[in-house]
Amino acid sequence: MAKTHVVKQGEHATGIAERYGFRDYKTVWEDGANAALAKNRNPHVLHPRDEVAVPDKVVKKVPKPTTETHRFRIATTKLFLRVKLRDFDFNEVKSAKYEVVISAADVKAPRKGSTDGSGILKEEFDRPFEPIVDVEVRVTVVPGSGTPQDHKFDLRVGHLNPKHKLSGQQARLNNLGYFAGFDVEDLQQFLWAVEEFQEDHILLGKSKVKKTPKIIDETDDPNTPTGVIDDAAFLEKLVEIHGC
Amino acid sequence: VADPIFVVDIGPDGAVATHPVRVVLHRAVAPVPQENVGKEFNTLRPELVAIACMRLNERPGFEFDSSFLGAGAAPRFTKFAELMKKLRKHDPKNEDRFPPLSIFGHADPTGDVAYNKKLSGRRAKSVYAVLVRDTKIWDDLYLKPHGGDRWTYKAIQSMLSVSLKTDEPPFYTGAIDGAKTKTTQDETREALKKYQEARGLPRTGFANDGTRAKLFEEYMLFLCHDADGQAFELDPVKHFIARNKDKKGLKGDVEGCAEFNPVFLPTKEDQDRFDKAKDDAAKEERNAAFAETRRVVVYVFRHDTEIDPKKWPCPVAESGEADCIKRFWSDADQRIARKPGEERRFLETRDTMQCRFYHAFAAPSPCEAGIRRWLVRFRVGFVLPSAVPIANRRFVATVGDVAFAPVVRGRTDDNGEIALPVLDEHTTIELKLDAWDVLFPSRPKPQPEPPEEQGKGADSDAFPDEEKFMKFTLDAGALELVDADKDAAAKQRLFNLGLGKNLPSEWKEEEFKEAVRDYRQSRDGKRGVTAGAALDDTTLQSLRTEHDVETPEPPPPPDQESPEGS
Repeated sequence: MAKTHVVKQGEHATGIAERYGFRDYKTVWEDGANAALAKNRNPHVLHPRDEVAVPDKVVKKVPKPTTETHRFRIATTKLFLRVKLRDFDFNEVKSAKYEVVISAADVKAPRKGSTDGSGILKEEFDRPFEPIVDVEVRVTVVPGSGTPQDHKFDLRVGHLNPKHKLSGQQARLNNLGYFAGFDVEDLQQFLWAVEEFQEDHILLGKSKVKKTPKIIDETDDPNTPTGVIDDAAFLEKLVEIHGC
Repeated sequence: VADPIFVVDIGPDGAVATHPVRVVLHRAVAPVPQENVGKEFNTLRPELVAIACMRLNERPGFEFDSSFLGAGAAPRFTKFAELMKKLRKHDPKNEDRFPPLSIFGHADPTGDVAYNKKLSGRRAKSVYAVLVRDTKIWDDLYLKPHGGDRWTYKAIQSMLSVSLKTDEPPFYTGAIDGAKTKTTQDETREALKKYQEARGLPRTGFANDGTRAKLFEEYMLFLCHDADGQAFELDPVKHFIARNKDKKGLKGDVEGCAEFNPVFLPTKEDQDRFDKAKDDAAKEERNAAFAETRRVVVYVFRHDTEIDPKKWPCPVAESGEADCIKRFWSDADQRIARKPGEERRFLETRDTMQCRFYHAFAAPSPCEAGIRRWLVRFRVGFVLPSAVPIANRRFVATVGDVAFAPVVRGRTDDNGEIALPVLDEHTTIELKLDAWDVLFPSRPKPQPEPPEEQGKGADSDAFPDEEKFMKFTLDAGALELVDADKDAAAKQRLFNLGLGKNLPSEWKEEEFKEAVRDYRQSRDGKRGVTAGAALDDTTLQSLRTEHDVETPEPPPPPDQESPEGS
């Protein structure tokens, strides 16, 4: 019997698939029963109360003689933490040394590395994907003056909400360094961040921010857009710059 | 939590304060599956967060329409120096490093914008010059007057009127008039000669280049030193957020905000009257009304904050205002609207500033927006005077009952007090306090903390033994005002002071009576309370005073404006 999984904050397709015994999230996500949900949605950016249909497991039969040794390849998904680091001035932080605590095993000896030429940090998550512990990222940036700066970020993996949700927009603005508030009730702070973002990335100082974007409350319907609903350019730019 | 130091000192001359503890902002990110590597990522960019501030008010700091810093600014600089020394010690990386600053000057709305822009920039530069001991900047302000902002011999007279060295009497005791009369001209010349002689300079009686350089330097030390009288001096490269990359314009390090960020807006009627002000009395009234808006605010940013002045939105201190206007709120006009019959203050409404970029620093800053915190005082022992503060104990406070509620860690101060930021008017605060051995002296004293934790303060992660701390749950914001529901208000306060066994909302009549009797018995003779059984007004007021208001002695309380409730 197929089941329905109701998403909780912090869950994502790979974690849900693994919980029900699937090695590849696409087996679940691309199931016909999820067509409506999957339309224009990122499977790793789910919203609480989204409903994911979990198909029945299909036993795949491969006839082979019993007297020989056989090798079977099982397709698995690898999952990564992939972040672009930027400094106060919005420059990409290239070749910066970082330390990441991504799993319990890393606590004593954090993983170390350097960001690439476009400021990207990439680390692979250990299996199983659930639960992923809170991730800590420490970066050392050496700016123009030569004084190393230490920045620490506390991440919650899987907690990014969809872009058409106020909470999802707030989280992206927070990630981009525009403090947009701790929760969806802090609309004043959210508006501050929206206007700052528009100024820096859409208007580019050429014209004034004209109107306060209209906000409606978060609704339970995952496909009803909330947050800034009268500004498609804003939403597009926000996702483009944030990266997902 | 980056900042467990708690300083709030607000007075008529200005303010020095730490910003409310900024809780960790968790960044929500999406994991990226293999096939989308190369397409998807999450961006992480640090926030620009100010951790402390200093405000210098016009008087006694500045004279009206002037960038010259009067002797009255000295106590504020000293308080600021002490705050900076505390913050320096708090840097986990390097105890010799001050966190970096940026300085914002503000003018009032009278006069044209371009004039005010420059005046506000000159004031900010004047403060900057003192902090980095750059007498050349002062000399520039002295030699190049801007409208009414003319230093003249008034500045020289003012500087010679203070004791420039310990036990050295002032060189000048005459009127501060810019040497306009024959008498004061002679007196000023004489004072300058004496000064020049004392400092081994040619006795000219004029404030020439060499004399000004020496006098400015000594007066800067008079203004800006720590509590021990040692010079407090910052490095223009190390201790400012733009690292002096723009040496000439000081972009990013010093800003002039013109009249764009008022902290006070008069009523429409008053403004109309001010606009018509012709005679001196009317102008004086107008200028007095806007006094609090004429100020310089210094923000201290997190350690490791460094910005590129080329990308900094604020224009150079003394340049035009066009770049400021680009940064205005979309509803900037509404924010400074004068409303009929209604005065507005940033302190109360938090919406009087036009510049959105500046607003972000001002809104959480006690120097601009005042302060609201939950103040909680821990004491042991109910019977006065044996109730003693539970001082210098580690605490963990979870502010709010939502998932990932902010956690604040630190130590109680000498009064046994902690201050937690008000994030919500009504919330649950879970408190853990390392104090079992205070209540039960037979219990073993807490073990000394492992050395690696020392010095890291609340910046470190969880205390290893915090789960063993004594636990309290506070219903913050639920405290009844004594005028509202007298019984409920009294019960809550009696309970918080240690009386009763059950939650106050569950008290039966008997438990309530017993608590009142115990309270009156123990406070007999204090604040007019006498032994007795009834909850009379005197008892109620005494409860309110003791629970909500009373200041423990000594030391004095750091905070005057916390909300009622704990």
